[in-house]
Amino acid sequence: MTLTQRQMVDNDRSRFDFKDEIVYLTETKRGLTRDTVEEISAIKEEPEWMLKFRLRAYEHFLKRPMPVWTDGLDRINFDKIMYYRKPSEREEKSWDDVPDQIKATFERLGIPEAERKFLAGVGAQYDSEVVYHSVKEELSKLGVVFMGTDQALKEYPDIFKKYFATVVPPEDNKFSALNSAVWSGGSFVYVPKGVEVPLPLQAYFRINGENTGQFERTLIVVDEGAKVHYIEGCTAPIYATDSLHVAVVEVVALANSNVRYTTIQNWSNDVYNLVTKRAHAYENSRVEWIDANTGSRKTVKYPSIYLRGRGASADIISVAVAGKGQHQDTGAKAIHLAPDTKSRIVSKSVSKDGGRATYRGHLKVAPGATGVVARVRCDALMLDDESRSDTYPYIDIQEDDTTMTHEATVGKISQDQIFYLMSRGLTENEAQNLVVQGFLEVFTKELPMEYAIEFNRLVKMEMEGALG
Amino acid sequence: MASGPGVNPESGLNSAVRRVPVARLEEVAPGTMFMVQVDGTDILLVNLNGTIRATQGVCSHEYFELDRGFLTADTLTCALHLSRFDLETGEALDPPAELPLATYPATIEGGEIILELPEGPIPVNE
Amino acid sequence: MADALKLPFAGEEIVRRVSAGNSDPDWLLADRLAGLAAYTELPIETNPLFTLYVDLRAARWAELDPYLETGDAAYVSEVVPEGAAALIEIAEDRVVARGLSAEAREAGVVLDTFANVMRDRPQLVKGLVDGAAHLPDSDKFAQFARSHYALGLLIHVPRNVVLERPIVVRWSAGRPGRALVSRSVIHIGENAHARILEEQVPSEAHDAASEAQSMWWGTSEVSLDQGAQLSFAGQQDFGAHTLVFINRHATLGQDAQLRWALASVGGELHKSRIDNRLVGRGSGVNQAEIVFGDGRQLADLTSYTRHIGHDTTGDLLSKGVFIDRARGYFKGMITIDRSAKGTDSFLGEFAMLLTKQARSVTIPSLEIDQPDVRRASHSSSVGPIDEDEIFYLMSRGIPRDVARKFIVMGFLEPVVARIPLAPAQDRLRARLEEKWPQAQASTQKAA
Repeated sequence: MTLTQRQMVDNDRSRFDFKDEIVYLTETKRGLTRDTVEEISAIKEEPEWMLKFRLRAYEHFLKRPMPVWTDGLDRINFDKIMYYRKPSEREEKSWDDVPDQIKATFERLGIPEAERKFLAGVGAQYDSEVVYHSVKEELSKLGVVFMGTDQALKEYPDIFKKYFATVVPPEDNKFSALNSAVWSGGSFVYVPKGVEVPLPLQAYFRINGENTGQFERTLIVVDEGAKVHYIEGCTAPIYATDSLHVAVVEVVALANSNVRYTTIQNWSNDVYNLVTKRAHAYENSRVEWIDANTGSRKTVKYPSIYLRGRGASADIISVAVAGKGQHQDTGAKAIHLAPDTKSRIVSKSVSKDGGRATYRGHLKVAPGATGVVARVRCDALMLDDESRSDTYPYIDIQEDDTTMTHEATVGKISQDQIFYLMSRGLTENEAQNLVVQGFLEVFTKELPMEYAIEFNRLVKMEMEGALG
Repeated sequence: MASGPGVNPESGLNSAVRRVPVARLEEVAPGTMFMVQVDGTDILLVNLNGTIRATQGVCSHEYFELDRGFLTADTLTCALHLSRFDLETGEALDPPAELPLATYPATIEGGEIILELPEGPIPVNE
Repeated sequence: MADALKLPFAGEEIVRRVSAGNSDPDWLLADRLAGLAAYTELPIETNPLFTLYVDLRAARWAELDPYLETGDAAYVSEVVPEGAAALIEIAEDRVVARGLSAEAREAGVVLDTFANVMRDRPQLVKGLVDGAAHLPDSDKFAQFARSHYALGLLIHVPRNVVLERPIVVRWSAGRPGRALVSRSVIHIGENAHARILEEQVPSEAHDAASEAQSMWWGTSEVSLDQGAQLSFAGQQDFGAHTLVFINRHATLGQDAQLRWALASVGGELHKSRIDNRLVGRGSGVNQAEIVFGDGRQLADLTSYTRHIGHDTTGDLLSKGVFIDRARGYFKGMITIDRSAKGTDSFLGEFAMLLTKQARSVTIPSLEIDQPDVRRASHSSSVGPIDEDEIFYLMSRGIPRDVARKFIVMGFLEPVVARIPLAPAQDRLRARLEEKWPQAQASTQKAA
């Protein structure tokens, strides 16, 4: 398969000019039926195999019960949700409709004007062409493919079909089944053998109306010896239509490759953010999930790595900040299936004002996976007694030479530290903020500078309760 | 519950057994898996250091093809939820699976892998 | 999960028979029936975290025939062993020994079956047993014991009594095909101090050559009044085909202190659940469990510790060594209620896997509603024997296989050391050492 020089972002919207003969969405445009799934596939003009895939996933979604081990998901009303919006049909909100608080947040985070409108759902398009152009050229010279998943299905069918849904099958859980049935948008990245992508790929670069779609599906394939850093999200609050975001991210790290996937997400406070993200790491590859969760009403996300090849290594750094009315149900999974593999999981959570932070971890060393070294460290900071912190690790070791250690602590900010900082002239709030930032530093120091700055600002705002 | 070929699960009587060649040995390299179909039923062949083991091709926990899973020492781990099975007996070793995999005796003759299967439907646990 | 624990020897008819056989008063039959209703309704595991990790496949229920009637043997010894304050010994379904030292008798210590205590002090039994306040109401296994027990044991140490020497409770079981379902209720009065040693060994009727299963099902229902102190050491060393089910539940009043030191060495399947409720301010529990699993033994150790009052302390440690195809499940849950300011909580779960097929699953969970803790942490590790430690001992001239044994025995020693009677301690050490040559033989690593 040859990678031709193509436009990385297809700003040609003509493919979305629907002819009237094409099947219409049902009248109500809400709710999910088999017809909806078929229509989505038809509108996208997908190959037969993808339609079959979606339908099989839909059947599974119907029969799979709702998970009971985490609460509140039964509040989601699947019948009220609109499962597909044609970009041309996207509701254009007026800037006046955007809540003041959101506007204020943009102000404080220093988000440029044009971006603000986009992020607030005002305007279907954010034209990042200018920033993007030179990046596009550099990438295409390297043979790197970076485009929307919908587009990749059409333009790179062989590689797409080879890897799609191999890391997260639809039957994995109820929400991966839902995503598999109605997915739309998301990124596809392919890095050819030996290529080191010199700059982080940011989802931003390809922004169009579908990017922050509810059911996005991302697939990243990094070929042997290649290296890439992918960043998604941003610190500004993101509206999800219908308050539901069900995404799937699959990463395939072939032998000797190196992949880092950074997520900073700050969903608005009414959103259910349910994500299945998993990587398969082959021989001597290295996969890193750097994951921050703030905002949302409830986030359920456990970045996972299956270490399939000898010598592979996994690094998962996850932070969660749970404020008032929020439940961050996050964690990490490292599944060792091959010898001499290593994993390190670091989880830091902060809960305040009645927020709830939950860590769920799964560490498994299967027979045959000799010489494994695995370390887990999860620390939780609770800022007041309204909040709650839970830790649920599962550690299943089936080889006798595994070295595994797991430490978890829960505590509050040391009053001594606060008094000391206050005696240096900080207000109590500032002191608390500084301590929390220190607590989260293991995460922040992994971020590119501009993200780190934004993230720290975000944490500061959370601490002040400025984000309601 | 299925338990080996030729045994009718209802009556416990030995019914007729047929020997079905399903693949050539060279198609299943040591340490690998290979999926075959007999009468439309998926059967998984695994070459464990020269010995061929044959089990049902889908997980007993949730319908999912086992050849997408992982070989972990002498056991098989399903990729979907990490249920693990003993390849010799089919026993479910790790949850969430509880039912064992149906196993079928396999022999190698003249480079061909031959399975002993009962007449009639091939037993599968799900 | 095969959710219904379909025990062929459970049910109303059986409950009534056992109750009648014990001459239970009405309130006790009513309590049994309440337990039966709960047992029938409850799933095997209510905690969704642990549902996948309950494995009872080894149990061949149909082969087991529980004793429906228990009582004294024809001859009951009254000898109290050297160094003990009191002794009761139950062999299969018969009490074969019962004795109190002069000290214990004067102090008013009670150590006898429900039926016997009920004759003179019915209120004592009723107060502790009615309503089963000292058993978890959401646990199917506990409710089975509550409803179906054939022998109830009551241990009562009155307020202010300080017993220097331990109370010994000895159970022997293992007759092929038979099972004993029992309950033990333990009450330590205000400011009283006591030690209990519970020994579980194969009975004379046990046939080591037989593959037939037997079963022992029991409870420790502990209530500690204000200022009470109890050290409870338990050694489970039943035969290799005995199934063991235990519920231990403790409620601690203000400043009460409880020490558990529990060793599991025998049995084919050992499933135990410990519930510690730290209700009273300043109460504390120190719990250490060890298991040395060999063959195809399965140890399922669940521990719930709930901090409710102020300034409570929980120090919990589980350690397991596994060889052959043995498995250990360590399921811990520490809950710190919002009311529990000043909690100090630590949970440690450590396993050594010495063979390829040994396996451990540890789930050390925390649910915390109150940040004002002195400490809330847990730690878990799994690994082979530390090479550095082996090297250190070898450099002292100790041969490698002996060094490895020292390290493993040292790993388990914290519990062994807490057995309050020297002969019992020695016996446990010997049993653990007995398992060692098997560890040598089956370990794959270069010796």
